[in-house]
Amino acid sequence: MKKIGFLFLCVLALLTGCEKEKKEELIMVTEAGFAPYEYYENGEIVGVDVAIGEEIAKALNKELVVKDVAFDFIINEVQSGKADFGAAGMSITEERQKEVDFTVEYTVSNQVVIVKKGSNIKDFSDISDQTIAVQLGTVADSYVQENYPNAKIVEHKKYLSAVEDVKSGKADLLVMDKLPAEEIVKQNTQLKILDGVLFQDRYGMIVKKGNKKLLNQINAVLEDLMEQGKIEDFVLQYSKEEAPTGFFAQISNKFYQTFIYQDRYLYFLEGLKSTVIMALAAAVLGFVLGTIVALIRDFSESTGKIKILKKICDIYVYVIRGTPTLLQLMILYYVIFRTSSISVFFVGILTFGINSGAYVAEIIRAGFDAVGKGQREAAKTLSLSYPKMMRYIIFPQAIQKVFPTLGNEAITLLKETSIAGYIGIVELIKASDIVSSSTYDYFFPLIVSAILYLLLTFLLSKGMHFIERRMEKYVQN
Amino acid sequence: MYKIRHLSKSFGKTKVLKDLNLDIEKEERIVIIGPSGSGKSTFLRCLNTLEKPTKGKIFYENTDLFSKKGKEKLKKIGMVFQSFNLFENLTVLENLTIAPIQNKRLTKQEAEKQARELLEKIHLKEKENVYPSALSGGQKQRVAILRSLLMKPEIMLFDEPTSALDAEMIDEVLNLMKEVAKEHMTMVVVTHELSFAKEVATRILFMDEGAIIEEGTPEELFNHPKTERLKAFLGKIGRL
Repeated sequence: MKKIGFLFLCVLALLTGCEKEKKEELIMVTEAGFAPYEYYENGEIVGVDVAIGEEIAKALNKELVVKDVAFDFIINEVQSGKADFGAAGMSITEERQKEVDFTVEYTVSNQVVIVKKGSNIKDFSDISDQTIAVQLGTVADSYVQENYPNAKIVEHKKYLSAVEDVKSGKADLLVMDKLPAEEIVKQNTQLKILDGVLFQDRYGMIVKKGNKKLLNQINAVLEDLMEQGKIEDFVLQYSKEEAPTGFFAQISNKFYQTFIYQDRYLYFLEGLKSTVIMALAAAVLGFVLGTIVALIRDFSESTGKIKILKKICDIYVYVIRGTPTLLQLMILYYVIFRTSSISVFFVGILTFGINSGAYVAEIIRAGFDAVGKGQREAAKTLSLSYPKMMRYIIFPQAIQKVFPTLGNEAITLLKETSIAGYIGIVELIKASDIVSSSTYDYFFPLIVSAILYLLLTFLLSKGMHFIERRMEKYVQN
Repeated sequence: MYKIRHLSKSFGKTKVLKDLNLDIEKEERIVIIGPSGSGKSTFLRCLNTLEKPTKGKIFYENTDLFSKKGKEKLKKIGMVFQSFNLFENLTVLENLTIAPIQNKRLTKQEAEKQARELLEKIHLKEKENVYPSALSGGQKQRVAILRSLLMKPEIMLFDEPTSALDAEMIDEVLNLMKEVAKEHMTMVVVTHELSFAKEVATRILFMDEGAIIEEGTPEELFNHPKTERLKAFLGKIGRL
């Protein structure tokens, strides 16, 4: 056991210590997909907030690194110190102020209403009893909750899916920031913005509570920029062109926009690569871990030794199977590796590997049970030691028996990696999110990702089937 | 060779073996008979530690089999099961050679040579590379006997070796066991094959309800049973 612990420490040291010293980094966290504040262009995150971030970095003589996570995780990133500051068009609210410190407001956000063209809603007085779509946790969300008690409110994780609700008629209107709203109606010609501003809101950037030094530094830069009128300039600079109109132009444009324009197909390739590597590495880790756990439990059960180790394994399996993977990902990333500079991709692999290991342990245990007791008795009477019995007799038979189930687990694991986008890994779902945040079209990129997943699972099940048939040599038909 | 003292075994509240005492000498061939549920198999399984006695001790060459040193002694005790228990993922040849090779009793070449010689004797040479699933029951049991023999045991335990076989295959297995007997192997056999018992056994134990009710030579037990229980048992078997 000591050896294993030592090995683990070595690996950890290698992984954390390999980053070279460069110009000091200033990490800004955001959710890219909120043009013109932050969005992807040519593979990079750009926008008003990023431009401001560059100015801040310049003032501090640091290098700006922009990190893209899910909106709900931004505060977490800043609190845990994984990022230095957050800039994501965040409204200054009392609740958030309890968690983090806000800078001065650097832009006023006008919240507007998007409806379908030809909608019955002519002005704000028609809203009160309609179905309203908002992005979860945004200022628009709390505003409509407070002001329209008779309305039905649909909270979406992403505002682009809220847009889809309005397009399809599931929701009557959408409340959101004016600037991205303008981008959206440019790309979706069946939508329009109601005249007027529903309410106004103030955006600020966030830093970790008590980080007065950075807060003052950022405030100084922001005030400077506002004085010079730079922020309005940025807004103009990052607002986009109009999309073509007409049916065919839209369809071919959809394809063009999703794949060709700004080489967006590269996002899908990167997503595909990340998904495959992450799933493969996690599958190997999960299999090794699951096998070790299954062996420890089996050894303990058949000899009555190492009971404490077995208890630990039992708890591991129980806890991992009893909690959602997303939670495990967050705990590993924000709690266990809170201060470590370990790569986020590695945390992804570790999470999915540890998660899969618990399931693999149960699958292999079922395999051990499926091998007749007589095989063990025969091995014992022939004086084969436990390791030899396992290696030559029980394990090969068990694996053969549960191979289809293991294949299932591999497919589940592959699909499970889709939550890695939450902590900023660009896998297939995140890739389609990035593209859709630029094209304002939610479904087409998602369908592309779906097809890629299907392709992967198809190849995986073919491969598993091939191995399965080769292993069946000793089973009589 | 074996000294069994005050052996008791319970599964939960059910007492399966009740205070058994027995000595087994070299080259004895003991056949244990008795109605099903009498504890014969459990007794046999205790002899090579597959079952742990609730009470009592089992000594092999004066070593307690359940002590640390006992493990070494177990190598000298072979076992043949009712359900054969050939390793399903290994070929016939691998089944025969794995134990001698892994226990470093023989080199791979030596083990394979001896295994092939034995297969030749039972006319299964051509089956050396097939998996057990392709063998008949009788063939499986004969391979299982050879597998045990290749560990060069001093004593062999047979747990109802023909009970799982179709009638036409019983003889091929019994004949091989007789061959083994001729080589002066010490044997303990649990079986319902009374003719085999008569022909081969040097001593017969009649067990019922977890105890040895009668013991003696085949002649004594079969021709002059003393207890009512044995008489009833022989009567039933005889009618079958």
